[in-house]
Order: sequence, then C-alpha cells, then structure tokens
Amino acid sequence: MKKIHIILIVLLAALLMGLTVLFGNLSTYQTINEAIKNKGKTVSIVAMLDTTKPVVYNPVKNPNYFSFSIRDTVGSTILVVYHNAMPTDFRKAEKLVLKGSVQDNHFECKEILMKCPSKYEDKEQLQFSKNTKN
Amino acid sequence: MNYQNEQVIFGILGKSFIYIATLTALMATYIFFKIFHQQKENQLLTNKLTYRIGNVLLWIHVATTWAAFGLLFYLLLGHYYQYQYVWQHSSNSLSKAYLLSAMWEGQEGSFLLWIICQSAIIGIFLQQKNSLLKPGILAIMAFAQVLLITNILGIFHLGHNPFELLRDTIKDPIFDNSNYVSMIADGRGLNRLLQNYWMVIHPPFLFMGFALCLVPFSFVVTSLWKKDFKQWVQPTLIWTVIGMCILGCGLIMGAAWAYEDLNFGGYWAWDPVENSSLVPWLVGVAGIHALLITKYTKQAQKTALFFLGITYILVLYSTYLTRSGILGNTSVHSFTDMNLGLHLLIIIALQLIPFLVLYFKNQKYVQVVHAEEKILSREFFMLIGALLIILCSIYIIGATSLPVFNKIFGTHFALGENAIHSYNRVLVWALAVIVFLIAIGQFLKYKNTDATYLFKKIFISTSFTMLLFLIVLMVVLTPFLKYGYIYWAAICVAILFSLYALVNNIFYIFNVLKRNMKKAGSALSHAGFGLMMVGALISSSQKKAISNTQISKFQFSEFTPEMMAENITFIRNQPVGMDKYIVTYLQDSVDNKTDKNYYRLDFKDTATQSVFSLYPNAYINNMPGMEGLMTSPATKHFWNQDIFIYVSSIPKPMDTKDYHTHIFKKGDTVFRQGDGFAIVKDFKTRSMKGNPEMQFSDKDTGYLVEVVGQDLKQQPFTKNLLALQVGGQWMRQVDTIPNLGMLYIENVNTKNAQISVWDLAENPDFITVRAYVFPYILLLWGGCILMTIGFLYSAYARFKYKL
Repeated sequence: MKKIHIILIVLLAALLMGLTVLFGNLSTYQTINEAIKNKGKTVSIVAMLDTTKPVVYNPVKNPNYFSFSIRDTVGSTILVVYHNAMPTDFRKAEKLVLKGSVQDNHFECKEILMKCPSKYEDKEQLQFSKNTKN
Repeated sequence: MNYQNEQVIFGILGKSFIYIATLTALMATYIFFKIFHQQKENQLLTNKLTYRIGNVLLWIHVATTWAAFGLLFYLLLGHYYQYQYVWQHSSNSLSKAYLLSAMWEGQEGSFLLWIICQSAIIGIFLQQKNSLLKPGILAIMAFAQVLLITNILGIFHLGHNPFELLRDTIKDPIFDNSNYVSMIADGRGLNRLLQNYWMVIHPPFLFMGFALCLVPFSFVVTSLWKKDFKQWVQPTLIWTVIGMCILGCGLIMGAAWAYEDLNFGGYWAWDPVENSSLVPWLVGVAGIHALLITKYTKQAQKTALFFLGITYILVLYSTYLTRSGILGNTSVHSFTDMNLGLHLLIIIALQLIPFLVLYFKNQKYVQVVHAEEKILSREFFMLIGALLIILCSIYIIGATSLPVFNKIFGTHFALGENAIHSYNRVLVWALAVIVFLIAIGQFLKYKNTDATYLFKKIFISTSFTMLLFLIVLMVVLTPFLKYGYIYWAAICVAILFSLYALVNNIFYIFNVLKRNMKKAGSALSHAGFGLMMVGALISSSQKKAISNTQISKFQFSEFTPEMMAENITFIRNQPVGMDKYIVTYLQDSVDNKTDKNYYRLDFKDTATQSVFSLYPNAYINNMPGMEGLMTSPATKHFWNQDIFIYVSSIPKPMDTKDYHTHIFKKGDTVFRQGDGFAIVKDFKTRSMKGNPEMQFSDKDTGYLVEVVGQDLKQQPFTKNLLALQVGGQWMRQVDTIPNLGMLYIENVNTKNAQISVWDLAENPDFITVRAYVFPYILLLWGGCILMTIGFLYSAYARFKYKL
C-alpha cells in the first residue's frame, strides 16, 4: 500500500467524522406539538405570529426580553421568549422561522428568521407617484 | 394605444443585442466544435473560411453583449422609467456611482455583468495565436455564453429580459393614459444596503472571478476531448491564479461590506451566499496546487483535471443555490425567485454531464508517472493540503446544501442551534493542519528533501514562532470557553500554526530565495494567508460583546440565555458604563439627503479620559417588500482593536396621542427630570387689536405663558410660549425644551393655563444597541492584502519569466 493511500484513508475518516458531527448536531423542522413532546431539544419551527396574544418588548425596562405567541398551521400555539432585541421588521413578517427549544412552558428562542413578502410577489400592488416628470 | 415619448427603440435595440449575441454564440459554438473536431496537430485549420466566420461571429457576440450592457446603463443614467429594470432598481436621487450598483442589483443585470466578463475573456482568447486547443476552448466558452444568456432572453419562457417595458410586466390603470411616461416621476430606487461603495466594486470582482473559472474548465474539457495533456498546464496555471486572485478579492470585499454596512456582527457569517462563492475559490486553489505538482513532477494530473473542471460547475451550482429560492428558510438574504431553479439545473447538467463523461472516458490516457514517494517532498505536502481543502469544500457545500437535501429526500433538517459554530468547530481542525503544511511545505523541494537541510533552514523561524506564540498567548488571548476546552485548544493550535505559516514564509524569502523575488509570489501569498488566519482566529474568538452587562470576563459555569443578552439601552443624556468606557447617547440627527438617522454616542475612556464619538445609523425603509428599520453599524478603529456598534431598536415615532393636557396654576411644575425642571411662572391673555404689524380684529386674542427652569446641566432658561386665536381659529405652536419635553398652549384664562405636554420622562428618547470589540482585526485585512499581492505577483512572474 502506498503512503498516499494511507493518507487518503485518514482524510476520508476525518471527513466522515466531520459529517457525523454535523449530522449529529442537526436540528429538524417540527410542529409546535412535536417540539413540546421533545422538550429541551433544539428544533426549528415554521409558524405565524398569533395576533390575539400580546407582543411584549420594552427596551427601556429590559432590552433583552422579547416575547410573543406563535400559531402553526395545525392551530396549536405557544409562548415564545427571545432574549434579544425585537427584530425591527418583526410585525411585517408573514412567516417566522424560529430556532430554539421548549423549556418549561415556553419556547426559548435562539434565532428568528422573518420571511417577508417577496418583492416580486407584491409587484401588482405597487404605488406609482403620479406626479409630472420634470 | 399610441404612447407618447415612450422611446421603445431602446427596448428593441437592447433586445436585438441580446438575441444577436445568443445567435452568434450558438453558431460559433457549432462552427468551432466542428473545426476542433476536424483539426489535427499537424494541420491547423486557421485559414479556412469557416474559421474566419467563427471569429467574426464571436467578435459580434462580444460587441453585442457589451453594447447591451452599455445600453442598459445608459437607460439607468437617463432615468428611463418606462423600462421595468430601470424603474425597479433606480431612482432620481441615486448618485451616478450607485447607478452601477443598481445595474447589478437585479437578476438580469448581474447575469449581464457575468456575461460581459466572459465576453472580455473570449475577446482575449480570440486574439491569441492558433493552437490545437484554441477552437475547442472557443467552442466551450461560446456554449457557456449561450447557456448564461438564456437567463436574460425573455422569450420561450427562458429567463427575463432586462429591456422589458414596464407596461408589459405589470398591470396598472396608469397605462390607460397615452402620456403615462410623463406620469412616472421616479423609480422604486435601490435597496439602501446596496448603496455602499463596496457594492459598486465588489460584484464586478466576483463575477470576473466567476467568469475566469470558465478558462480552466475550457482547457480541461478540450484536453480531455483531444487526449492531449501537454499544452494545457502552463496557460491554465496562469489563468487560474489570476482567476482565484480576483475571486478572492471579491470575497474579501464582500466580507468588508458585511463588516462595514450590515449588522451581521462580523465579516463572515457562513451565510449560504458567502459559502457558495467561497467553495469555488477553495476548489480552484486546490486545483492550482494539483496543477503545480503536475507541472514539476508529472504527477497528480488526473486530480488537477478534475478539480479545475469542477470549479466552474461549482460556480454554476452556487448560482443555483442563491438564485433559485431553494435556500428559503435558511438564509437572511431575501432571494428573489424568478423560477430560475429548473432552468439553472439544466444549465449545470448541460456542462457537468459532458465533462464527467469525457473525464471518465479519457482520463486513462493521462500519462501516469510512477515515482517513489517521499513524505518530505513539496508535492506530497501540496497534495495533502489540496485534499484537505477539498474536504473542507465538501463539508461547507454539504452543510449549505441541506435545503437541497431536504427537497430531494423530503426530510426536515436544519443546521444545529448555532449555525456558525457548526462550521467553525469542524473546519478549525482542518485549518490547523493546512497552515502547518503551508509552514513546512515552502521549504521542501520537489521529489525529495534532506531532513537535516530542512531542520537547518527552519530552526530559527521555528524558535521565533514559538516565542511569538508565547507572547500572543500571554498578552492577547483570553480563554474562550463558551464551546468547551477542546475547541479552545483547537483555536490555539490553529493560531500557533498560522503564525508559523506567516513567519516561515517570510523567512523563506530572506533565507532561501535570498531576496530573489522572482519566485516570491507563492511565499508572499502563503504568508498573507497565515496572517489573515491569525487575524480571523484572534478577532473572532476574542470578539467580545461589550454591550453585554451580565457576563463577567471569565465564565466557567453554565451559560443561561439571560447571560447571552447583548443589547443595552441608552436613555438620552444618561451615561452608562460599558467595558472601559462611559457611554452617553447625546442626540440624533437626520441626513436630509439619505433620510438616515444618525445617533451620536460619546465614548469616554475611563483610563485616559479621551473621548470619541460614534454615529451608528438607522432608517425606516418604505420600499415595498423591504419595509422595516434598516440599521448600519459604526466602527472606531484602533491599531489593536475595533469598537463596533449598531442600533437594534429605536423608540416608536412620536405620536400626537402621547401629548397629555394638564391645567397649571402659576408656580406649577411642568417637567421634572434629574436636575432639570420647568415651572409655569406667568401667563396672560391679551387683545391683539392695535398690533402695528398685522391687522387683527377685536376678538383676536393672544395667549402668553412664561415657563422658567433649569436644564439637566443646571443652566437656567426662560421660554415664552405663544398661541393666537384669530377669527375663531387657533394658531398653536409647539415649543421644545431641550432634554425635558415639548409643549403647546391649549387655552389660557385668568386663573390657569391649559397646556398640552409631551414629557420626555414618560416617553424617553432612547436607543438600544449592540456593541462589540474585535481585537487585532487589522491583521485580517493586512493578511488579505498581502495574499492578494502574492497572487498577483505570482501570476505576473509566471507570465514574465515563464516559470
């Protein structure tokens, strides 16, 4: 066996190890009910803001406490706590992708991704400024 | 309907350019493939008529693509908003430089930019003297152009043409008017985040880099086709070095843009957009190393062919990832889905499949040299390094492609809790080995190296590195234990070997090359890479959130979410300690030209008493689809660290509902906050009749209220409020008392005054920010520059001295 083959095997083993680490730490997209069942496990949830519940963020009191409720497509809801500032375009989002885990009775959120309506989709509703061009 | 002033001629012209460019490229592909197929080594078919026709066709192609680009820019310059692309991506207020960023903001414009870059390369190849491979290279490049151009064709459901009229792309009643052109006063404008000089210069570099990846691809495919593996090595080497230099520049500028203008909180976030451009660079660099082995030892040729061929495919794949919308839920970037997914996949397949077929069919014709392998040889180190880089690429592209994986297999995977750490924790190990190989490899000779020679050469630099590392360990580094001891150890090892790579490569120039700079390109770029990694490892592992008030410097216990809180709120004029600074939020001001709000924060160093101000900015974006608060950071650069701050929240805009009306008697307090207060001293009503300046009637009344007090700095002030009742109409004026609030008169009678008050103490003016320290980040940028110089020099020297 040539030396390069030994090295190749070592490198392959390293790659496998790396990928094992990667896959071992993957989270999965889950519904709220599944996330509650897997308490403490990091998951991603795709949901909408539950507009019937309050959205709490008071930066003067505590800039690192933001809470709201979400509702997923099945209709289940849960309180979300995000120890960070309220994302600035939060209320405009039509879909939220949250990463975190269920703790006690709330969802401890680590990362919020907001999906805003794509600029191509709402092209029909755009307004023109109907002034006269100079 | 006949529209006035529509100037459809530009659209017709632009579309014609694109159609002609497509047709000429298509015909040239056919012609050059045919010539390439017939051409034999001993009879070059230069003078055949078809060859000349092919040349002319390609020149027309080059000219029309550039003309299309020029015309689109002309339309942007002239604000021809009847054209959809112009209307969608620019506005009157945009300065000329940013019209360039508007040019490549959209899918169509950026494809056009890529196309003209490839056109320029075709132009260069057209002028080169004929060789066996040349027609093949031209054919492959022309074919690549055909495929790219389909993205902006706009016919047969292929892509979207940048020269569409607005009225053909959207429905609106405005188009019922024959003079609608004069009614569209302004365009939608350019995303503010792209109004940055990095966005003017970084896309051309990136797309030129992408385009240059086509050159090695063409050489690889033609060599495989002709089973001729002698001619490709030298030209491919030079072209790929130039390509990777420019692509690398593009990546670095992208990182600088992210650092300067985005609130990612850093220069690299392992975002899919960044990853997908990084991977072709990594594979291209691995390809360069494999090709060097081929050049000097005739080995590893198959590896070089594969790596350099696949680079361009990875460029296309990165385009697929970022433009098809498949990344969906995983990226912060808002990708515009123009249904290009399937289209781009077909483009990839049309180039990947022929490449793979040729590779596996003809790679057996590559001459394999059997030589005794020595571990202490440059080619051995380079090969291991190249393979490691490929492993990193596989890891990065694999993790980035999870959404693709999910789509194919119907799974629901996402990266772990901390996406950035998912990359770092694995790649830091590979990096440590790679920089070690770089440190030693430079001193090795091809074929074999004497161990004692090596030891003698690196003895001093090794000792020097050890010393340097000890200093860094003592002075610069504080343990970063958020991810455990093992990860911290890996970072330290990577820093040590990165320093080693830097020091050894500099020593190599002085000790081995004896300052003969002809061959110094590689040592310079590797030293640059070492320096860059030292900077990256130190600045990102020692990056510290100074706005985090709850965490102590040394933290050994469990991290709770509250401890990770990194936002801090500053109420106006109230100093707060942050790290070694006393920070005060003083004022906000609007830049009328850009509508950006600048917040002034004064940092006072508690040790030296020196003060500096930072102005992070924010603005409300009203552009449809992108509404929200957009903020950009401000950075204070010191030689050894950057203070980096951005706004994460601002108060709601002031609302008239927040005014409250109270009844005041003389001596009543209106405001009180800290040392500041305001008291109603006196009020009166007065008939306005007989006023010499204006004509008032009997019933017109003036109301006066005198408010006195002192401000927060105990400076006394007097404010005279005034309101008028003229012809039964109230004329009220809002007055501001700095740092206390705003107020206006409702009504005044003999006993009391009714005043509406907006009290700052109830509606504090505040901003919430996040602030970080990036230590020694200058090393990172210095390394980037050194590496780029090394790349450039290496390409130049190989060209000039035929190395």
